[in-house]
Amino acid sequence: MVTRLIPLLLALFLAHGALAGDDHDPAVLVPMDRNALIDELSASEGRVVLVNLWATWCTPCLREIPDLLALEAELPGDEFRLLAVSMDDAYSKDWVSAFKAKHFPTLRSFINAELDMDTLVSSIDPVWNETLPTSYVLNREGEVVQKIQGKKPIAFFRDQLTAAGL
Amino acid sequence: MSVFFRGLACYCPSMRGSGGLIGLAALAPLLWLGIVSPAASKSLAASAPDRRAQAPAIAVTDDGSIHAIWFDKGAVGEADKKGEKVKGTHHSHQAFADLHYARWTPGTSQFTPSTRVNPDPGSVWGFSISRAVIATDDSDRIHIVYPGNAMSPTSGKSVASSFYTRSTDGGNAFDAPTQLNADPEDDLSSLIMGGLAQAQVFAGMAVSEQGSVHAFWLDTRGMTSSMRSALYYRRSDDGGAHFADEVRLQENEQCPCCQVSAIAQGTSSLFVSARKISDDNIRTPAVMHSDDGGSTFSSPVETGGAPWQLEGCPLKLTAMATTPSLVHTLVHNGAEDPPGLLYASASQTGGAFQPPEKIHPEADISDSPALASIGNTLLAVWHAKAGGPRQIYYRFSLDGGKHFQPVQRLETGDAQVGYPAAAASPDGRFVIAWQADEVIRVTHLEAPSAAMAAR
Repeated sequence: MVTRLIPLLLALFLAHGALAGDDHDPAVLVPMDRNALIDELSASEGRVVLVNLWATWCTPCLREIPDLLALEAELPGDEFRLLAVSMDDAYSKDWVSAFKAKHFPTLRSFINAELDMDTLVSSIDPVWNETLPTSYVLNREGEVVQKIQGKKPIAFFRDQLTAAGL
Repeated sequence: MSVFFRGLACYCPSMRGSGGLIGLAALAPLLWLGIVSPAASKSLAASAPDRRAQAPAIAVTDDGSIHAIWFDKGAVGEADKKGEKVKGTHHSHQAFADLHYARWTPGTSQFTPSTRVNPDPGSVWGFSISRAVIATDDSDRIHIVYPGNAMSPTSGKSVASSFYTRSTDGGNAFDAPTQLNADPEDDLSSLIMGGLAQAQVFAGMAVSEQGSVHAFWLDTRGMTSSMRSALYYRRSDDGGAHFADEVRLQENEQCPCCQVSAIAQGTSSLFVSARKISDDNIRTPAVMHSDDGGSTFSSPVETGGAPWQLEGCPLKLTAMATTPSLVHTLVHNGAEDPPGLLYASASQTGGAFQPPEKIHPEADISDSPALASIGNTLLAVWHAKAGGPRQIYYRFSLDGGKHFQPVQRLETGDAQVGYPAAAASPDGRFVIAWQADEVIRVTHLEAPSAAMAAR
């Protein structure tokens, strides 16, 4: 098992000498395992966080991303963080990077580095049903206060973020 | 019959070095607690340990041979070929995978080395969410439908299409694939995004005992901004040698990424399930029936459950099976609290489904259903979390779905497991396949006798 994961673990090690944070180069799709997700969320405490799970094969996800980028642009960075994670296979990182660069060049995103989607997401949602898009709103204390499934209008997200204390 | 599949024994991966077979006596305390089942025998790997395998599907021929297929995503540690440029074009496909096949024959101790089914390497549009399907008939033909990469001759852009192939020699060789859908013409890239101009995939297939092949798929032709697919159908009445023209069975009312399933019973009875989108984006599984071999179909009958409103990709198929008088369904509903699998049944002669019930009420989450039946014995298999990591669970009904035996967990060791498939074997047992880390494993499962079940 560990042997099988060495290439991915190596990639993670190289990519995660430190937290990638939310100011990493948008051109870089950063591999993320469950520990990295927890670390990123811990480092974001004090801000309201919107975790967005998307994939290249999920059309509603792709149609939602421009709204999420608009939210990120309109909200102060010390109050809000958009933490996007591609659920595409990490083995496809190069292709997903190219796809993202073409369609969403300003989106700072991670990419799932676990064997399957659930392994990553279960660190914040043990009962996730592998449906995309899924977003989670975390309050300033780092608690998940809202789970959002399916594409929603930007006004809906604004309301949820406000309810979470933004 | 191979010892590896016979007897009351359990294979424990942690004991591989010492043989891994332990007796029933050693299991007794666990059995008493209902933690593991006595019915499962040792599992075998169908795929190679150095390959990345996903999305198993299985079928069994009359001689008891198990035929397994799965998506091969390449060697462990090898970067995905996804996105490589298509030769001679400026375009790239969204996924480059292969479809692998392996066979276990009674009396042998392992699966055959796997072979690639698709003739051109990397030509399969393979994800865990776009499973290929396999079925057999009374002539021991093996029928397969899988999603493949293609190119629209009119738009010149990448599309995903459904392909059919078969083996008439027990899996030693497969025919050149037939593209089931006609070439899509319109470029819907701006609607679909993700690198595809159109998609004719998420197929289901039913094969009658005599070898009539019925293939169904979700099709973006005619899709508008409401993002709904049509349901298409194509059939062969000569064992897959030739197919009739495609039929547009349902207009653009179907969830485009919800997967189709289909089963056949006897010579002319067919059931097909898709997830219909009604007003307000409520996505409801529904079943259509044909009692004339696919010439006509009933209106879709909903399987029930809370309305699941979602503008997204549920990626949830409806597992189906038949017993002599009923059709049975098992499907995930995200609107339940907690989300989980709902079991329902209906008469094969029509009418509404009985109110659905959770198949695993104690689970925190249950998903990825499979059903198989032998006579009135019905097997339900799924993956779920019940206070711990995801595991494979199952239940038997010995009376055609009226009552189910308690939930049992399949012993699978410490691997990350999920995505089970199930099939009935002619020797009266069942076969389950699942993904363990990135290896496909297979085992037999025996239904409890009615007398044991009554204890």
